[in-house]
Amino acid sequence: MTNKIEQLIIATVAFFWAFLMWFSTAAFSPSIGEFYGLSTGQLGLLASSAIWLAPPGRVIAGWASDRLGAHNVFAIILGYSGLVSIASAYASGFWFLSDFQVLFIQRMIVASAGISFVVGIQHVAQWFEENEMGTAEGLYAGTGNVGAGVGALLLPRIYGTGFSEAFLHLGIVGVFIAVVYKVRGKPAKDLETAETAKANSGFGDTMFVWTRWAAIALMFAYMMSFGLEIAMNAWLPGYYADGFPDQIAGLGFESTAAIQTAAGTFAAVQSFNASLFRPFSGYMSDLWQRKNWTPYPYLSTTQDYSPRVHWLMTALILITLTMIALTVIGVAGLLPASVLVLAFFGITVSFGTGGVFAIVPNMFPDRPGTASGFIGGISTSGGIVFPLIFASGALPNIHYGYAVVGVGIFIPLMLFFAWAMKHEDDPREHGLGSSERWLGGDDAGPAAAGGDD
Amino acid sequence: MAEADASASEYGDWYKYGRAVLYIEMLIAILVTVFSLWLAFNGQTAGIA
Repeated sequence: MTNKIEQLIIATVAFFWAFLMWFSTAAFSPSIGEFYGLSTGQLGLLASSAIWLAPPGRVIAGWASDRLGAHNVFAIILGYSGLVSIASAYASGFWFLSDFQVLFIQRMIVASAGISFVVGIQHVAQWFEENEMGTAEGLYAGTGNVGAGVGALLLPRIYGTGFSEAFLHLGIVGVFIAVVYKVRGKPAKDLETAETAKANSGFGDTMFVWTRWAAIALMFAYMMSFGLEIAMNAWLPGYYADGFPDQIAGLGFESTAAIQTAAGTFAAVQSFNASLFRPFSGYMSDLWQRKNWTPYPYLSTTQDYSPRVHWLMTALILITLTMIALTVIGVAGLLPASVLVLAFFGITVSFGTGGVFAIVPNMFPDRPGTASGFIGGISTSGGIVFPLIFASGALPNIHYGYAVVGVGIFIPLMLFFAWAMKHEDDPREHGLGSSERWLGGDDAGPAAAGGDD
Repeated sequence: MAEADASASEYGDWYKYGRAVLYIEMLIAILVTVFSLWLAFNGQTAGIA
């Protein structure tokens, strides 16, 4: 086994487990609610809290992985989240906090394991070559993402209502993987690559990445894909239960438990397709790159990674179209057709998520952690914002939210993406402030010695 | 065939295994979709919900 394959496997297994821990609380929501006597509102708060720490946490984790090495940062994240998961198995009131309040805080800390995504992205980027980046990052992220779906399907079946036992076991394995990551992980394929990332992790480097129009456009593209994916993970079960009540009853699902099972099964289509097609999207990005396909006239064709940008544009268009299709099918009340469209929707989302991170390490090869932290972090706020729009009382009914978001938000974001990616010269030269301003005179640009490219 | 050989040499041995894994993952996603569609058409009569 070559060393880079070992690094890819370590990162993928660690991220899979981090994702499993991230969404393990949601898998036991009914049991936790019953045990602590929670209201629907409290359960919703518990579910949404899983995303709260992701935006700032990922920004810091991405920067730290450039600075300290991904193997150290990933081990720290899995280590503390694993230990807190173990502690949450024995949650009890402390000082003025009730038993549930202690559990809530502990599970929010455990959920922060999800910030490790950008650390693994940085790690894989430090080992694989430009032409194979899409497939490598896709395998890492797609296989890891499926931890959420696997947890939702398997944890309640394995542990029943015994969430404390599940949290204990998940934490123990998490700590074990952290130790393996620390011992076997290596930060980069060579010392020079690791040192370059470390040297480019200062405040000016961070501001340089954050102010590039291209980086902001990629962040929005990831909001349209991954932000939407995690929003739909939380939204879809309720959508099918409330949006197709007659159709679900007509299928014989009448009790609350049966409706939840049916709605959850329909919703799982999105989660599994969005996760498991993601490696294929990375592979497609590699393929477009190898074939040099650049079909869109307005987008730049002169960058080394231009075909990957054109592939991502295709994904963004397809995501928007399937959002509108979900509304049309929903208004028509066609449940099986809605599930079929949802499957295509999940695939187009995976095209977006895989497409973005096939570009990021190639656009910012010397600042992979900082760039991944910004793009993969801020974009997760979509997971909080989109469900609020879907559920808005201002809409005619529950089906209209998809088209409203698609037309009202995604089309303007796509126009911004096209504008940011139109430059025939280096797109990193375009943003708020010049590269000289943020990087200084000695490192006078993103393509300077030791700089990107 | 020649293109496949060129592709393999360009990427190295690991790439073909990577492709195999991504095809397996796609197959799992398709199976989950088929199961959900089966449920959407047949409901409780499917006997597997």
